[in-house]
Formats: sequence, structure tokens, C-alpha cells
Amino acid sequence: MTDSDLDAAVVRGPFTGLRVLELGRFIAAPYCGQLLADGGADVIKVEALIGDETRRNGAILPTEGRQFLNKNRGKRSLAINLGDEAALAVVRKLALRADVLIANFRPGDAARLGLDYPSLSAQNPRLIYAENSAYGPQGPMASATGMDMVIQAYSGIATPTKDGPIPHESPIIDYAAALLLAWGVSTALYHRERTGAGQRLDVSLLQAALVLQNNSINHIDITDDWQGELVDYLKHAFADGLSWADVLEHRRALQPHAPVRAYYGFLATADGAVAVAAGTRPLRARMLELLGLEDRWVAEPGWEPPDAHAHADEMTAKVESRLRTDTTAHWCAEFSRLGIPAAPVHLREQLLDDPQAHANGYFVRLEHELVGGITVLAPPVRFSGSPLRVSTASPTLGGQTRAILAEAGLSAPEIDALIERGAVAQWQ
Amino acid sequence: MAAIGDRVFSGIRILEFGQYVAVPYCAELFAHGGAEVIKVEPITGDATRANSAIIPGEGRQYIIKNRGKQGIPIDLGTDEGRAIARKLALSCDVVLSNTRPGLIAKIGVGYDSLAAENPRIIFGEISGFGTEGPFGNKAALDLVVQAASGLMISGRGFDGARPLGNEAFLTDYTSAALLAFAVASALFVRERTGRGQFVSTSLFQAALMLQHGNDNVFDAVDAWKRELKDWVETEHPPLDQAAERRSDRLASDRWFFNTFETADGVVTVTAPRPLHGAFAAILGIDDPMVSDPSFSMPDDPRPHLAALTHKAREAVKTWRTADLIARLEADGIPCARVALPEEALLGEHAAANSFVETFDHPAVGPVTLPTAPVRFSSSDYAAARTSAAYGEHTISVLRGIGLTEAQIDALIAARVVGTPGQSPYH
Repeated sequence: MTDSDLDAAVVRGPFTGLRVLELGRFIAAPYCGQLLADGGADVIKVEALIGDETRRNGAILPTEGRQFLNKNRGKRSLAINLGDEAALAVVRKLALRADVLIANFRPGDAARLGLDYPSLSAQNPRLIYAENSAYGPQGPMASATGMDMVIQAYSGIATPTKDGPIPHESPIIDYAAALLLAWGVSTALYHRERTGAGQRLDVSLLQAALVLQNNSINHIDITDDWQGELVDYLKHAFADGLSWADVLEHRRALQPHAPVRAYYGFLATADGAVAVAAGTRPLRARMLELLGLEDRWVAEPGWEPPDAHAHADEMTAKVESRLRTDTTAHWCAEFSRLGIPAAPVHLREQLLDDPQAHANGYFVRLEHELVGGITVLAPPVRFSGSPLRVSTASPTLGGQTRAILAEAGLSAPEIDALIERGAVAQWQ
Repeated sequence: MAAIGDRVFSGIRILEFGQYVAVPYCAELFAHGGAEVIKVEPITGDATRANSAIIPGEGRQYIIKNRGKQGIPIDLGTDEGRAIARKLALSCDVVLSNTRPGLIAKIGVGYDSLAAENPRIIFGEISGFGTEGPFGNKAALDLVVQAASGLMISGRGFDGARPLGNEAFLTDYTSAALLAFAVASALFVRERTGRGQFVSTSLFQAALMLQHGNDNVFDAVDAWKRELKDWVETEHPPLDQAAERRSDRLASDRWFFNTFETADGVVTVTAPRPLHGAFAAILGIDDPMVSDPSFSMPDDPRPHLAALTHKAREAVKTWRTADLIARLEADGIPCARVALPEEALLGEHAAANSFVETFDHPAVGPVTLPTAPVRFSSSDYAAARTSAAYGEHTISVLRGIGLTEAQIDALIAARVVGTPGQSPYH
């Protein structure tokens, strides 16, 4: 490749010319692989002969499920039996010619298969090896398997309600972990470009869940003794027969509290609810003026109400009594005029035809060869010079097996032999 | 320039025009990797210095996402202040901003005008809703975007008709990670081509991304999504009723991906294939999806799914949490007791992995918080220092772009820049 070829290629996508081998299942590693594919990388997805588990989640056709289609676009599929020695040797061969390997193995699987970083990097020192685990490599949970839903429980991110914690419908931790992994890969590519050396990087779902909660997951010794008290209390609370309502009430009483709820939250209107985020004192003052209300906590910096919870309850009731006099649309317009962030509360399906989302190109239309027309999310970052682009829909199972094996240096008879004994599969 | 390789972002200089959460956290990720990050604060101090302040000028939300940075308060309302901002920007590899749309160009540090003088510059921007469309210039904070994007509803917690939303700032942190990915990718591209570029994302895109699993329309099966949207927009049903109809339509009541009450607590279990059958066996449930190869889901799957969920709930109620977890783990089925965030933060597991660490902040004392969320085997990548005091680095930053002592003194006297002695928090 000449310099000008490279220039032109890189302008097509930041990862043009890179070979990525993905041993990814479910969400975190596959979505990371898709971000690299959108950026022009050649991503080979290694699948079991029966296909990635997600091919059957929300299945539209027997091998084409929603959860596969929406995070494997632009990749090529190699359907292979990792239990077969010769087939496994092919995957190792592909790893030795890859720039990046992305995986979310079950604990211990990588070493058992000889696809661990020390084995591969000994022969391919430029390899960037990106691995996602559930809980991280050390500690009491290191060998436990995990999935988003379980880490939503373990990390405390599920929304606590008096009837118990409610997990988010979307696997939010998986997606956050995928992003951190993708950022790690880009960072390691940059580092390799400067030094020539590859490396291993790892992210866990638990870490991603902590990042999402960064605003409140922290402990400042001079003010936060209550957190340790709460943890001790929780060691026996449920065993003592207390309910979630009791636990949350206890937490609320312990937790230091600024009375912001009247200004930052979901507030009832005449026809639903409006989200308001008057995050600073000047915005709160403007909001009070609009509603014809007064609050000493806003007016006098430094004044704190003797009972913050009672004060917040009282102000929230006053604010809502004003907001109930008109519609959500009215209040959104009024808040917007004053520069106070506000929005109506939507159902997710409303976004699919949302003019805002479409004006910014946040969705893209694709044709899948088996499933037909699909509307899916466009790459979530815009680059002015080397854009991420959607190339093709997700691959059919084993759709490119033969071509991938040929690139790995296998002869046609060798490939036929592997197909013959069911070590790999090529479907038309 | 520091030696390449000892820190992954050694020698990289970043100017941050960051507000609140998203860009400050993104810039902190680069500071952890050894980049020199200079944060421009309003002359009155960053807004988060005063939010839940521990001591005057040191708020929790400032301390936790401005570690390892230098800070310089500048009055960007003055010509002199804007000239300094531009000079600083041109001395940097990367400029990051989440100021109100249009503001950054108005003060003379927009990407186009910087790139005309320095084509290697990388500019990263996070907006609320993107730059086009009806909300293109809308002020936004995380919670508002959680509302507008459906994220609030998919969080599923309701208090009557009012959705609760997630306590965590989901779109802020997700967009921070997206921008970090984009900037690192742009640095990689610049290393290959010599050219910088403009990269951007939005809180709104981050919200869509978090709902990626179902934020899509497959024409073959998804006609109901447009029907639901039209019904909501013409009938204006109360939000809880709308959410209920949606939830019925999703029919996502999977008993084997669920949160259960046990005899003494609450536990979450996820048993996708091939673990599904093992979980059914442990609970003594017969799920025809596992046991009957000829089973096909009824046209309306809801009664069938609800009956199985009910059976599973009854079965789990007879188990003690610890016993159930031990039994499930023996079969490799992912499960966990439901924790509060404080337990995750202060628990043994996070400590064992160094996912959290304790720092000594010079003004407020010990602070425990999550560490850098990615681990590299050969690049030094770690959170090193605490956040800066108001104006702590003003003089050294100005010296760094070649200003004389007399020029610096004049700027301080005119209050165009701020120093600790002039802190508004005394």
C-alpha cells in the first residue's frame, strides 16, 4: 500500500486494513466487533456450528434472530467446531495473523483452547487482545459466569422500588462494557502505532456498571460514614424480616440529601409527566419565577433546610400543583424558552419515527438477504474525516467459511475434508 | 515530550471545555492514560464545585471526574479571555467540548477555525440531541434525555403514573465512553495519516445505543411498533397505561431471565440456552421449550409465559438466597443477590480487582471511587492524582503558552483568569 492509498483507505474508515478475529457471544464483544466493522475493519466472527446463541433470540427465521442481526452487521461468519483439533488449529492460525482479537470467553476457556494472550502473543507480539469478563479476573467472583441482568443485580444499578429492585429492560451494562472495550482497542492501536507493540486489555461488566454509576459510587470519608452503616445494616436486614420498603426508607433516612427533587426529576403535568433538569441555582431561580413560587433554599446560598426530605416534599408538591394546570407540551416550550433542560417522557417505539433522530442520521435502513428490510441504529459516533459506516447486514451462519479458511492458507481439499467431517460448515 | 510508551497518552495535550458530566469524565479517561489535560473553568468556577459541596469550592461531582487535570478559570466574556482560550487550543492535540450548541464557535475555538491553523487538531464534541432537527439547539442534561429517548420507560420503575428513571447518569457516562472511543480512534488515524478531524456524539445517541437490542424495526415482524407510536400520539394515554400496553406487546416475560424473591432476600438469575434446562430442573419446572422438541409458542404467548413465571416465583420462594446461589453456580448459571450501589462500592470483590481505590484529596481527605475502567497489560494506565483546586494551575498553564510574568499579572489583576487567592469560594 502506498501512502496515498493508505490515506484514501483510512478516510473510508478509521480501521480500514485491520483484521479482527471475534470470539464473541451475546452482546459486549459482538457489539464492540460491530463498531470496528462499521469503521472498516475486516471482522471474522467465529461461531459454533449451531451458530451464536443470539441467532435464536427473538428468531425471525430459524438462524436469524433480532439480537444477532443488530450487532453483527458488516462481519464475515466462520462456522466451526472448536472441539475438533484441526478446526481449532485454524482458529489459532487466524489469531496469529490478526491485528485485534476480541473475546468474552467463559472463565478458563481461553487457556483451555490455547487462545489465551500469552500463547498467542509469543508468536504474534503485535496482537491486541481485548477481553471482556463478568466480574474481573481477581476476587471471590472471578470464576463465576455472569450476564448483564446478573450484574444489574450485583452492582446495585437496578432501580430500587418499594416492591423490590427493577432491572432495566435493556442490557445497559453490556453496551457500556462494549464501548469501554472499543475505546481500549483504539487506544491500544494508537499505542501500537507509536511503539510497535501489541498488548492485552480487559474490561468487566462490573467495571462498566461502576462507571455508569460514577456520580454516586464513591466514598468521601468526611461525609460518607452512612454508606458503611448501610452496608452493615443490609447484612441482616432481610434475614430479620424487613421488606424492601423498610430498607429503602432506612437508606433514605441515612443518605445526606439536597432538596433538588422539585427541580430535577419527573414531575406531573395536566396530561402526563415532564422531565426537568434545572441543575444549577440560576436555572432553579428561573424555574421558580416562571411558576410564581419561592424557595429559601434557592434564594439564599448557604441556607439548608432543617429537614431536607420534608422541604423537598413540600416544594415538589407546590411545583407539581402549578405544572398540573397545563400540558407537557406547554411546559416544555416554557422551560426551553428559559434555557432549562426539559423533555416529554417517551416510549422507545416513538423514537423510530422521531424527527430529531432522523435529522441526525441516527438510524439506517438495511436489506438482509434472508430477513428483508430492517431499520437499525447507525454507528453512534460521527467522524468528519474517517466516518464509521454500515457496510452490510449481519452474515448468514457460516456464510463465508470457505473464503476465510482459504485466506488462512488451507487448500481446497483441506477445506473439503473439514467440511466433510463436520468440523466447519459452509452454508450457501 | 515524554517518552512514548511509558504512559499510553504521553505527550498528548488536551484542552477541555467540559460541563457537568460527559466531557469531564471523557477527559479524565485520557488523564488516567498520561495525557496533559487542561480544564478551562468559568471564572466563577465549574458549576459542579458548588453541587453537594464538601467544603466551599470542592463539590463531590467536581472531585470525582476531574482527577489528574490542571485547571484554569478564564472569563470567556472578555476579548483577552477568548484570545487565551484560542492560544491554548492551538497548543493542544485534542479539544473537547460539551458547551451549549454554537457557543464554542462564538468564542473563537470552533473546529473549523482551529483546523485552518492546525490541521492535526482533533476536536471532540458531545451535544444533547445532535446538531440537526427540532431539538438541535436544545439544552439537555442526562435526565431529560433519559425521558426523551424512551430510556426512562425501559427502566420499568414506576411510582403510580410517574416513571422513576435510573439514579445513574446513564446517557452521560455512555456518551463519555463513546467520545473516548472516537478520540482514541482519531489519534490512531492521525498517527497513520497525519491529519486530525472532528468527532462527535450526543446524549441522545448514547440513549439509543443503550437500547440497541430493541431500538430497531424488522419490517417482517415489527408493525406493532409504529402502531403503538401512533396510538400514543393520537390518544395520549396515561404513561403507565402506555407502558403496560407496550410491555404486553413485547411479551418479554422470560421466567429464566428474572429477578425473584427468595425466603430471605432477592436474587437475579439468567439462564440462556443451554443453561435454561438446568435451571428448570433445579426448580422442578417443566418448560416445554426445553422438554418438548415439537413445542411451538402459542400465537398469544403471554398466558403461557406468565404461568411459567408464576411457577418459577413460587419455587424460588422456598429457597434461601445463599443455598440457591450455591446450587445455581454449581451448574454455571449466572446469578447474584440484588445489591444496593453502596454494597458494590464497598464490597470485597471490587476491592480485590482494584475496581475502586482510595485517594487522599488535599482539601477534603480520603476519597474512594472507581478506578480507570480498562486495564492494559503493557501501557501504564492508572488514575494518578486528585482534582485541582480552583485556579491551582493558572500561572503555570499561562507560562506554558509563552505569556510573560507581566502579562500574567495583568490578566490576574483584570480578573480575566482566576487564581487560588481570588477563589470565589472564600
